[in-house]
Amino acid sequence: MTKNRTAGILAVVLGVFYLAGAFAVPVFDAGDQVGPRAFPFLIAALVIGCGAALLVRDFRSAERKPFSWGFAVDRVVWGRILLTMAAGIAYGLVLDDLGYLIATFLFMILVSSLINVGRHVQNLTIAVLFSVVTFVSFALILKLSLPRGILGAVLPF
Amino acid sequence: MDAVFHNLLLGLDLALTPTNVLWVFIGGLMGTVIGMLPGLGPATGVAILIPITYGMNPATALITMCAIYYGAMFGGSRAAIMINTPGDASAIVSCFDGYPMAKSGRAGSALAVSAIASFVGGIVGMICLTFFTAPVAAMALQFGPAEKFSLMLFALTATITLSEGSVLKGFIAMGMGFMLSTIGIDGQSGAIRFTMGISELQDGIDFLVMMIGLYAVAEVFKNYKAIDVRYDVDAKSIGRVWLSWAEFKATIMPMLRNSPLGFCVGVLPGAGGTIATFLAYAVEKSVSKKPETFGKGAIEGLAGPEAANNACSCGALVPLLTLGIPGSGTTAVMLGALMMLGVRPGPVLFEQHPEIAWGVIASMLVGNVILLMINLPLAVPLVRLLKIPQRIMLPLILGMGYMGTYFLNYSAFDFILVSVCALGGYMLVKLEIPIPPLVLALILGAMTEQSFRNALTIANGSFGIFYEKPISLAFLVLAAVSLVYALRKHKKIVQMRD
Repeated sequence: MTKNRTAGILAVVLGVFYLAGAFAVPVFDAGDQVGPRAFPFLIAALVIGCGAALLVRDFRSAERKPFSWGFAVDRVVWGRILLTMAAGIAYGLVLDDLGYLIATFLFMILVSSLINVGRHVQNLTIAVLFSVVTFVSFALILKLSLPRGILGAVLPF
Repeated sequence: MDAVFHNLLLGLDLALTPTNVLWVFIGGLMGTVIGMLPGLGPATGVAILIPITYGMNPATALITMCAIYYGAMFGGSRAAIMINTPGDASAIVSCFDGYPMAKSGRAGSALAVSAIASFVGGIVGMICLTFFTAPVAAMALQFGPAEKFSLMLFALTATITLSEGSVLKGFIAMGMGFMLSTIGIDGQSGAIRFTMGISELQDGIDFLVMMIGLYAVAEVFKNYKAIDVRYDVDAKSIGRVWLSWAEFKATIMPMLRNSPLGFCVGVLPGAGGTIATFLAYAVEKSVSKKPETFGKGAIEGLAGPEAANNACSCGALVPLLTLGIPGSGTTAVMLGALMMLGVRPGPVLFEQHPEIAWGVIASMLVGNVILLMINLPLAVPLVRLLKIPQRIMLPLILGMGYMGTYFLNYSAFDFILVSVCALGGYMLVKLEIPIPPLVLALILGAMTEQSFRNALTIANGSFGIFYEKPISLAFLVLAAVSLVYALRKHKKIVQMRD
């Protein structure tokens, strides 16, 4: 599987799914006469067409260099990516309850330990400084409202 | 002529308020720092600094973002000169002669000429911008839906055909951007489209969330592979950051002749700093009496492209300000941030809020002077920042990205969206599918579809409206020409390979 073939298949599959979605769009008599489906149909045709062209060109060409996502070779990189995503999603889920300061501190300590492996003092410093400096600049100086969470009662400001 | 000066004075009035001068300074400095760091370009800079524009009035926000943008152009060549690693793609050319200069003990001159050339480019670019924008905006006011649709089609096609890489993959990326733009409630009929039952998607995908995912978080993912890279910067050996009279005489012409060139390249959608700098380098090499010195530390080879690069970033503001159409990733992010603040750049901006449009243009005069004052005396301490290891920078960028996402809508769902977009962006990069056409199509999608449908409604469903109107036809022809150009270029590359 070459890079172009992977990209071509991805485009065709995506286009077909999108086309199916376009057929599911309800059409009302109200609104403009072109309707909400026409533009999506054109896009689906464009993506499927380009994907197919990419496949045809790839089969004709002599390029045979296999493409790999590198899940095995770059295990560490992919691991870091997935853990970062998980940390990011968790950050969003706990932000309102824990408050900005604690949630941001936890997120920062997680991602910096993931990247800056083993340097606990550095990571702790980054996490504390980042959460405090951003809280002060955005909540106190720029006056954006940020969740105070469980610290709300003890914060002096 | 009088009108131009009147407008400029109106703009200066706004640009010189203490708040705006302060933000130009902060934005320019931050842009310089971010532009300097290898792997981080202006688009990332604007994306992670979006939160600082919240709570600003639109004019100050736009002024700040522009300052970040051209500040990054000032910074981009630092890393190229000192460690032979370009800060972003448009600084690649600066490696050719900047690094040899630094290696032969002329780092001070190289840093000085880079700052001065950026300044000259910025000022010339700003002057061109002053004369260019009003006529373009006046013309654009006459555009109906058919013209708008064809113009956007041309802008998107040119973005694909003028940038590097496969044309087919570019169109696939554009299609994906359009697909994402149709998610949510259709503005004209009220039909709910492609939400897959997720109620959070009914309002559509917030493109700023997408952009933070693609330009901030995905950039960090890309850098995960080279996490332990450390750069050795010998800041002590730089010496005086200044130009001798002979060096100044040798570089002033290259700066002046490449600035207008860079500006014109910048106006074209898709043709950004990379093309401008390579063109300027080629120009300088061909007019030089000693072309053999190029690549070995020729100061003209650094001055010309640096000026062209900064002028190019001014040129890129022409389609953004006058037509509301971004031609690059960075200007797309700027447009997204502005739309969130309730400002839609375009011809109407010049009519209804001339003070904003001209304030931004005038602020570039102020900004370039400030940046020259930052970049000449502070060159040595700034260069020291290159020593900050990736392991410290990357968590900070992630923090800024996720935090910025939260500020957009205060919604936990956006954290999922930003993570998924980043993963998607990383995978697209692995497949060599370009990101800018996707981002542009996403941001222009709603407007493109609307003009498409309005035009067809006016014409009673006949596609003739797109080629019977002369201006619309002209844009379609231009789009076709750029496509033919790209395909021929591609053929040539294939022939050369065989």
